[in-house]
Amino acid sequence: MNRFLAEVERRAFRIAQIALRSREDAQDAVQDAMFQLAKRYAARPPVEWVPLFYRILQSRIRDCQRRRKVRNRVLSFFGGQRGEGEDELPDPIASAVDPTARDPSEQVAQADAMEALETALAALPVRQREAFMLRILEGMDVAETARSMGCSEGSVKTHLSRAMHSLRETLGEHWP
Amino acid sequence: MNTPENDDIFARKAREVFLASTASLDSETLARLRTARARAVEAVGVPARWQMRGWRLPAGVAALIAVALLGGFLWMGGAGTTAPASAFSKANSDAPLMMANDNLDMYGDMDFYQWMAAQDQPAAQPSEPVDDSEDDDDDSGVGG
Repeated sequence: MNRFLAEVERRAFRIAQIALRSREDAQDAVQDAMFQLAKRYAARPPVEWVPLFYRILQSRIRDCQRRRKVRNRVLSFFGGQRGEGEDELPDPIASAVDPTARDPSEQVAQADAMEALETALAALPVRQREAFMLRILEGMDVAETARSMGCSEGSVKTHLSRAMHSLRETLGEHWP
Repeated sequence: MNTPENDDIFARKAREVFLASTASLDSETLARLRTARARAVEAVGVPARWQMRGWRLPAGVAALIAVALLGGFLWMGGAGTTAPASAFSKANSDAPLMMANDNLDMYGDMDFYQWMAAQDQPAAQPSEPVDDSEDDDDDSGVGG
């Protein structure tokens, strides 16, 4: 279990961060998903852990998004308009360039490309974004993605196709 | 142009950029992830241990209570041993009532039947002076 979580934790965190646009919320979501997987499904065969883990994580992400919507509604009702951007502001320390990286210019280019991808992903419908992140970024196969999303493989293919089309249109031919 | 080949290239690039972003996470996030992982791994065995703890505590308390009750009965000289029997017989005393084919409403009018019985008793005891004249008159009136 430890090896599996260590292998998956960074990608899971980034996927949660892209979906939630908040480092803290992403950390909380991954922490919950890890704990729930270990507590409930440790006895299951390890091949099932990937879809189970991401299913829990997607559920946590959706919970967080729902809480945010409610909070924003309440805050706007009382006049304090707290936009989603407040949590989205990047932490300067967190976003500082890692000095141990290979080539600073290459890293900046990668970071710019990732930022553009994140912005484009944020504009996608939720299910299309989930399909793209799990199938392409996490590298699951269609069956695992379907299990993680709780839908059919056909739905995954449809969501993914639409997501690819939208992203390529948004990012342009010369991305990255 | 959205061709499968172009989609594959795009997907490959996206994954490459994404993986590069996971390689440069800040130290605070990495520490948080390590802590979360450690807690999760600890939690693997927790349900079983908690179940044992959950059973041990009530079982111990129940055993103590049982021993205290048994000691109490023995110390009281076995007086309490008759209690269950008497309670059982008391409970059973209502059994014929519950199992009888009689109309249960009759038991609700028990006061009325007791009053009727009280009215009949003086007639069976001629030593006490009773004025039956009104009843006789009434009876005759009804019968006539």
